[in-house]
Amino acid sequence: MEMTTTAALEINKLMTRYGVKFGIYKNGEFIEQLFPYDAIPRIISKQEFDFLNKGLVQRVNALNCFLQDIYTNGNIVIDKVVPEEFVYISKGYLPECRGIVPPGGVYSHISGIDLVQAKSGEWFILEDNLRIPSGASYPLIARELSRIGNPDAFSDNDIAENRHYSDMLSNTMDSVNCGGLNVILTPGRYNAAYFEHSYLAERTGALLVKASDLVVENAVLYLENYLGVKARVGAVYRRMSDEYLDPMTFQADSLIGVPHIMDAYRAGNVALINAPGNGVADDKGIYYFVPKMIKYYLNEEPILSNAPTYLPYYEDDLKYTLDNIRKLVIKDVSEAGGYGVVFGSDLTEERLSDLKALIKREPRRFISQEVIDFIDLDVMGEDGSRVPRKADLRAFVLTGVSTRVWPSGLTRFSRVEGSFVVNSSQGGGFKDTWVLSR
Amino acid sequence: MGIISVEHRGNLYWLGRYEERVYTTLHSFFGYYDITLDKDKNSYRNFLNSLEIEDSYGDYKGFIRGFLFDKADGSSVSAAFHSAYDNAMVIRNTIGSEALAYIQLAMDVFHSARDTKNLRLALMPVMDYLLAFWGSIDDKLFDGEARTIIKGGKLVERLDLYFRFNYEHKLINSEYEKLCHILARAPKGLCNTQHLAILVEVMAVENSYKERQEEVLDSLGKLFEGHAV
Amino acid sequence: MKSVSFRYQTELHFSSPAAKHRFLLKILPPADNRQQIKQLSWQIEPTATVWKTLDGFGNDALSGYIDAAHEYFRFGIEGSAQVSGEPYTERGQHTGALLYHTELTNPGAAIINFYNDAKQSAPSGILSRIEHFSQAVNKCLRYEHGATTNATAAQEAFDCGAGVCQDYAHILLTLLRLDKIPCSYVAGLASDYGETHAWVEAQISKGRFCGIDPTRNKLIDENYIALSRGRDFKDCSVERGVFKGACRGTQIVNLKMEVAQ
Repeated sequence: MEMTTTAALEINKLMTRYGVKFGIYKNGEFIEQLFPYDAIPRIISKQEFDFLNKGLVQRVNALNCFLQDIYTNGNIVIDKVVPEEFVYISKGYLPECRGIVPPGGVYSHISGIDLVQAKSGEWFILEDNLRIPSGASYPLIARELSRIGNPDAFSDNDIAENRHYSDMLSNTMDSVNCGGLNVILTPGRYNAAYFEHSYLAERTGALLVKASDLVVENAVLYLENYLGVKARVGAVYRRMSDEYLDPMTFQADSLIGVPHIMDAYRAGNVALINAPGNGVADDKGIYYFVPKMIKYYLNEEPILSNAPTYLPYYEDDLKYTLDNIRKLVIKDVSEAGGYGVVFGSDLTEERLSDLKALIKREPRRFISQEVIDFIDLDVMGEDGSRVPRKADLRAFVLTGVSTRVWPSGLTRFSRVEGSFVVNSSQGGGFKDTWVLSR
Repeated sequence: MGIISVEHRGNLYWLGRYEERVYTTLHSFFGYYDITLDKDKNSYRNFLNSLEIEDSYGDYKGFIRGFLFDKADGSSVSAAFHSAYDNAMVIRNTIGSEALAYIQLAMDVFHSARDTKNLRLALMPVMDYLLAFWGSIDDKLFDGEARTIIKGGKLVERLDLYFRFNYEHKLINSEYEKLCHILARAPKGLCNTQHLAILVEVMAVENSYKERQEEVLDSLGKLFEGHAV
Repeated sequence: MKSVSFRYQTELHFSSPAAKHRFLLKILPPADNRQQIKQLSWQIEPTATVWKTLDGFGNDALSGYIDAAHEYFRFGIEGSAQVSGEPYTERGQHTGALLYHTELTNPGAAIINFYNDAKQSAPSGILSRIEHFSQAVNKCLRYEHGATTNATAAQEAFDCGAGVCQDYAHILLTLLRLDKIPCSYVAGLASDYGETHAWVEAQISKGRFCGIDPTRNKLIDENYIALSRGRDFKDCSVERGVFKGACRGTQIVNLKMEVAQ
């Protein structure tokens, strides 16, 4: 796949023109910066994508079953497939949501599943993101602009269309809409993914709103115009965390939430996308159990594998973790965004023994994993040369009437040689992901 | 037709005002800049006088640095640009990515003009992009109510500046007529009728705005502080 | 069963008028095998838009709002019930999160030590075990207003050595959870208690809970009417509210409960 330096420059110029940015907080100050974009795409063959597609649909369906189970009967816990404390201690488990079955029985409408490809070619699931996974807008606009900046690439290759993400998203919203408008609820301009909120609103035709625009009356959610006229809202794609969503139910001092929105949700008068309480299923501890969920709910063998993972909660796994800590990566289950992840090989003797003591003291808090030496992808240097960098893939899986995988995805890469940390909050960049149609 | 919330209305209105503030201020600045070339190095002070801004810039070079490019200076063009952008950002889905991109382009060119020798030449594309922005609004913003608000903001700002710069009646009157034309189509409750009445009264008598400037500026500023009817 | 009449009212005065007030009130006593509600009415002032709702813990609640500026907010209930002298409630089998600590019941080293000591002499029968821990809590705290706030966690109250019914309940929850007994916080009304009271319900067999009041060191009886249940105080706060333009000022509570003899 030819990508000239000129084409890459042109595309990046277009990205600047369209303000493809994300925000970060540095020393308490909000700074918006361009999301570093590398114009060399990641390419996934049709055959490979078909395989991923099956595995991702299976995984997300099982996760949705798990969420419904956990918030209703809890059979998987009663049957001891998942130990009770992994569910009820999880920060993501919200007892406030007990008994709620959302419209269509869908909890995770937009799932962002992070995968890596090992040097052997095998794909591994690294993490499920079922709360408010962000990132789809970036490859979406990158594709649009790449077609302008590098048209030949698209006439010379069979690349699967990805610009229908907005239709997939609209369909998902429509499929669970309880009657009324579709809105995207943003916490505001000073959010890391504000570009995405506004861009997806533009592309889907949903209204971009803030909590102060919304009001609940008799357990029905309304959008209020400047003259006080109300219009009913049927689906909310909310881009704020559960804890801020409703000061009447969750954090009482939240100023960005919509008071009583949970009343409307519980009464079945509005769909919340994604459902509050999903954090219980994408917890790093619960991750270990996802292959078991697939067997339990779907009676199928998992198509995609987890990275080999150990739970120090189990005696054997604790021993293995302590004995092999040098070659493992240790993750704190309560942290996200690449934080709370340490590689045993990076630690001094002293810090290693501190960590071991901590794991022994709070085994439930950690998981350990074999380090997967995932592949490097070529990234274009400033002088046009190519340098290898670690990259992962966030696949977007949308569930409405059925579950579908977007034939594209956000490929994130580390901008530091040899580093495995690809998160944008920690300086990583992104690529478009081309799925070949033939 | 979208539903325009209180905040959304504010963003539309202020985007219109700030965009226009950048455009008309630069336009008028070019006039004074021309005079400074060979006639009067201090003519910028008259410019500041009209805007009721104290001269804290020292000389005309300091004025250019500060009044144009110092974001921290609340009355600078740079500050107005950022305010326009901030308001536009949050209504991308109403005005469209294309219109937003014209503001981004205008801003990028504006900032890179700071270090060039030929300021006027370097700033010309800024004016082009601003006009392209309004073209995009005219062409692509289908929501009539939103268009009324953003253009209302634009004309309020334009009239405000024209009053301050003491432009001739004919010129002011034609902008005033544009505003009336827009308001005639505005939904009930958008415009504050009390303040509109004052504006109409002042504009009915040629040049009376010169004696009643304070009053007319006040009413103009509150024209879109509508309330529920 | 005895006939009990009850009346409860709270009045909040704002330091300056509050507007756009949204509130959630957990003041509706549930009907169950222990307390049969015969009559119930509620009052909210000034005039508000109100609707009934349910929370994730199975409590009925009143949601509502008042947009216009107001200087006070008054809410209350009045009614009558048939209440059992026995402390047991049938509550279904799902205990879920009731076995696990919350921020307010999370033990520090001191409570863990205290638990280990208390455990030494704890009897093995479930009911007497619960009573044993309740007694231990009753002895470790001194009842004192103002020593703690409603955000005080069990460990802090324990360190302080003083507290109110909420703190007694939290520490008992901590001990019971350490002892692997599912239990919930109960907010409610109790006779001879000038404000809302708090106690604990602990599971004694599948689906069957026993109410116990560590503040008074006794099992509950017909002098207790439950309003709501949850994992801790936070799940049961009688009133939650957000509003613009004011600060919470003073609060007056009126409570009257009469048990027919």
